[in-house]
Amino acid sequence: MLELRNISKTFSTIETETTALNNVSLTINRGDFIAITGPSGCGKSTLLNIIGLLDKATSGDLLIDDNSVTAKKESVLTNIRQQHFGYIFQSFNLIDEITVYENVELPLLYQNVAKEERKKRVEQVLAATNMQTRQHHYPKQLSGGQQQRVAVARALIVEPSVILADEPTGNLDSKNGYEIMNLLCDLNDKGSTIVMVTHSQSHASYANRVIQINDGEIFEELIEQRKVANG
Amino acid sequence: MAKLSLFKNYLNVLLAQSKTHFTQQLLVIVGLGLGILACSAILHYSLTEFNYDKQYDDNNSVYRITLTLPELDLGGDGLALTPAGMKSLFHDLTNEQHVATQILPMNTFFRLYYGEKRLVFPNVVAADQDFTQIFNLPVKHGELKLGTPGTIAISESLANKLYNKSNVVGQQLSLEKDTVLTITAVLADLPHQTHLSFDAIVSLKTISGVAPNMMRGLRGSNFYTYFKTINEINLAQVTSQIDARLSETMRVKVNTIMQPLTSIHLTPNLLGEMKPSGDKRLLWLLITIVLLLLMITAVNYFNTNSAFYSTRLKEISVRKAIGASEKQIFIQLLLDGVVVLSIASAIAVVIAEVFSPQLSSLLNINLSFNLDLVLTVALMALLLNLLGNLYPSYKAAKVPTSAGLKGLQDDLHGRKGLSRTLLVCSQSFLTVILLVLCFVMYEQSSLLANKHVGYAKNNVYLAPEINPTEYSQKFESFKLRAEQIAGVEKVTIAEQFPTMPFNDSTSALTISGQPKSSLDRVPLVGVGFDFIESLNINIIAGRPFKKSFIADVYRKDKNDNEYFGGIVSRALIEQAGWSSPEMAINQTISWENKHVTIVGVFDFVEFNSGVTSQTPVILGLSYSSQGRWTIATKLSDGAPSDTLAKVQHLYDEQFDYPNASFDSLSMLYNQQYKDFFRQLTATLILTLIIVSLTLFGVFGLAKFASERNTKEIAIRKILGAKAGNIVNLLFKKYFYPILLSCFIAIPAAWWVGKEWLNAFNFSGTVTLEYLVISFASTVVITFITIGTVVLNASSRPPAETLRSE
Repeated sequence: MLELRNISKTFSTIETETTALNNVSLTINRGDFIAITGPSGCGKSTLLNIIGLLDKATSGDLLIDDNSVTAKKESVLTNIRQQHFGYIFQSFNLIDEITVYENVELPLLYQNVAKEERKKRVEQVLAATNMQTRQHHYPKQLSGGQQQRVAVARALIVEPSVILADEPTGNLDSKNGYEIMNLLCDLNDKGSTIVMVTHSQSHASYANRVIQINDGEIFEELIEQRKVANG
Repeated sequence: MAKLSLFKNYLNVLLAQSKTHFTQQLLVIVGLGLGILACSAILHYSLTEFNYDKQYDDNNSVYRITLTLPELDLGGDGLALTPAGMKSLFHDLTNEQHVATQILPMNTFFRLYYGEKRLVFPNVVAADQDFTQIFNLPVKHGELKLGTPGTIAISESLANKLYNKSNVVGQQLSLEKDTVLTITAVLADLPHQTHLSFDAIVSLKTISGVAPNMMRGLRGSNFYTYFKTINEINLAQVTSQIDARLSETMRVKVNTIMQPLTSIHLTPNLLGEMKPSGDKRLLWLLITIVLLLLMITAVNYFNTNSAFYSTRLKEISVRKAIGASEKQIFIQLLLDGVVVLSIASAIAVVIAEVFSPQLSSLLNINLSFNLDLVLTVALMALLLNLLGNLYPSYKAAKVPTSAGLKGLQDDLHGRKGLSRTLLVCSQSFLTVILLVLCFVMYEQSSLLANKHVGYAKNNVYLAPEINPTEYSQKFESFKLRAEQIAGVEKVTIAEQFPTMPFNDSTSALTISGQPKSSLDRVPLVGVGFDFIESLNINIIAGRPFKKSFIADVYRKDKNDNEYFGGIVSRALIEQAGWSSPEMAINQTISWENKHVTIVGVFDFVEFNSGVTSQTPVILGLSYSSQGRWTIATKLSDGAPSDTLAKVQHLYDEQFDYPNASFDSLSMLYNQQYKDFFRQLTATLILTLIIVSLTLFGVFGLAKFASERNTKEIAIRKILGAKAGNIVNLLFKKYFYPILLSCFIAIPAAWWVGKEWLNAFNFSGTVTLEYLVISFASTVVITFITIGTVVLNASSRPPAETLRSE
């Protein structure tokens, strides 16, 4: 479904050039739950951003359903993002000025979805994330765990083929962290493909593929059965 | 529907963000409102001024014939009026291939009566039957019959004033009580944007019957002459032919100018205009100021938008991550601009409405709520959105999503924000220059008010003109009775008082039989007894006119030789070659059939703005060239408050002139400099706006910088930084560059002030004091503005900042 071929990413300043990713190749299949782990600054988030079309690789090729998207225009990438990806961030990245309902609804507005359809889908995802009673609250009125649930609901609303989660539990306490991980497992069980960046070995163990990155390269890939939720 | 919801979403976010950054947003809106108002008002005024007389059909083919007499100092740039025979001459020279018409301003020569009541206020003209072929005036009732004697058309407002109804066709007025004028048409009131000005128009054939001599000849200048070209015309050839003919008949060099109709309003300084002209120089000055103002407002808006969007980069990146395209973000930010500018525009319209009377009197246009104003405001708002919002919106939409999400980019223009600092500096630079210009203008206005003009203009009031019959039959009695009124010091009469143009001059002079070719075309002013005393003119030799000296009085012998006493200016004495003023006393100056015995010498009188101490002038006792006499009444200091009213009442009674209004001589003097005072007022107001806008901009940016640096400030404080260190941190960014720009502005301000003063005959200087005060006030105000923000930021407890981070 998603294939990265020899992806490299370098960041340049006047004095230095830093290689964040070095010839990374990776295939992501439908239904995968992939955890990307590694030390700070190893290039995990950069890899996730490139997979999610939020950033461009310096070299290499990215294929979605066997089609290269590397040289596509920004407007085409926007369409692909809308159709394929849902994003969950460590710091939630909800828009503070609008309510939970409006935050979740926002991606549908950008896709020009009709009002009735929007309402139905927002209610569905809020129910699925157990946030329906908080729909009129503003993000700042919620706990961290609740905010991340809203972020998950917002990611799900467009029914993405791939959910990209960047340290989704990084800002949460352990209880809320587990709740979010269980939510992601449920989604994966229902067929969603999940790519998650995490520092936590414990949370990585929820995935069926764990990719360890070191100094911008894939150091090791472990394929194992997912552990049970609280196990 | 989704688009509407999306717009609602944008609006909610904008409102919430505006609440967070309330002070900055308020300053932005007020600044934009002020900028839009000032730009719109001036643009509206400029457009009005540029569009005079465009409502007439084929206006591009219509010209007015005007004259300049380069050998005579008339006090203006030429004459809007031509001799009566100009139309015939034009037809003769062009074989009657084109349409021509003439208009006679009648108020000086004839009086209009409504029954027994003399109509003082209406401005009445006469025109020939070809008038309607050039000026298509809308007729409300009846038919304009300018080819028929004894007919008149009046304006709708005059009809309502006289008869309390508009359809008054068939009613009758009279000319000098004895010539009946039947109203054949009621015209719509003349629009504001025309150089024509009258309330009633009489058929010229009526005047031909009453005063046939007025209709002939190529001397004198009493008629406006217009023509419309029907086919090709060689204007240069016709002009030179008219020049040659008029120079011959008027016995003075004449240059003819064919003024295109649409340029008449913006050609100033022609004598005899129907209403005051516009001033092209002032207009261009205002347009330059509008451009500056627009630039400053746009720069402020650009800066604050850049700053504001920099604080929203995370929100923008989140939107992009969840599916918004760059185009949608760009549109969102532009729509935010539309909302902000709409609020600012509404404020501008409300201010325009509230201050409409003041703005209207300053710019002489209607600035109350109307479609034109709304359109101009909308145009300004659109321009500001393009200039101040387009690029920041584009840049914000283009920020890489991943960088925005991680907070790696928090400024649209990079961390240094050099371009923003430069823009703020350029505003301060301009502020210093404008402040210096204000000081220089203010000093110039004081100089004009206190200038030595050679006569006392205070407490002198001029009555409407009277004719030769009234002068000979009623003036003495009026003078006698008026001088009995408590508070009246003197009553005198003259053909011209200071502030009026000269209308006669000598030809080549002989002095005691010796020709003096250096003294050609000396202005000659006919005056009455007490002229010198009434105006406190300084006599440096000889004496004022006295009734007891029989030789002073004007007389004519059987050979038409004219003899009268004269008082001449010091400049004449010097140019005639007399070594002292006393030597000129009792000498005779002669030209043609006129012989003036010099009885006195005065120092200097500034008769009009073109007269200097080097201009020779002759005051001739009771001499009359045009037969238009003006009475002046000098009141004593501390005269009872009703003195002038009593004199006016007496004047009404004596000259049958109801509700006559007297003009103060000092007011007429100031009117000579009205353009200057308008420039002064406009510059002062605009400077105030520009300074306010600059401060708003500086305040907004400093506030933004302090907010963006709150974390840095908090950490520095924890690490031991003192308040002084923190203040210095932000001052380095804005205050020091502004200080430098103000320094650089000093020589520029000196140059601008000097150039502006060069346009005046006499002027003050750009003193060091003005430069220092302007520099210091800009710096101090900026210091206080930035200091307030910085102190506020540095006093915030660090724990509070870091907690919220």
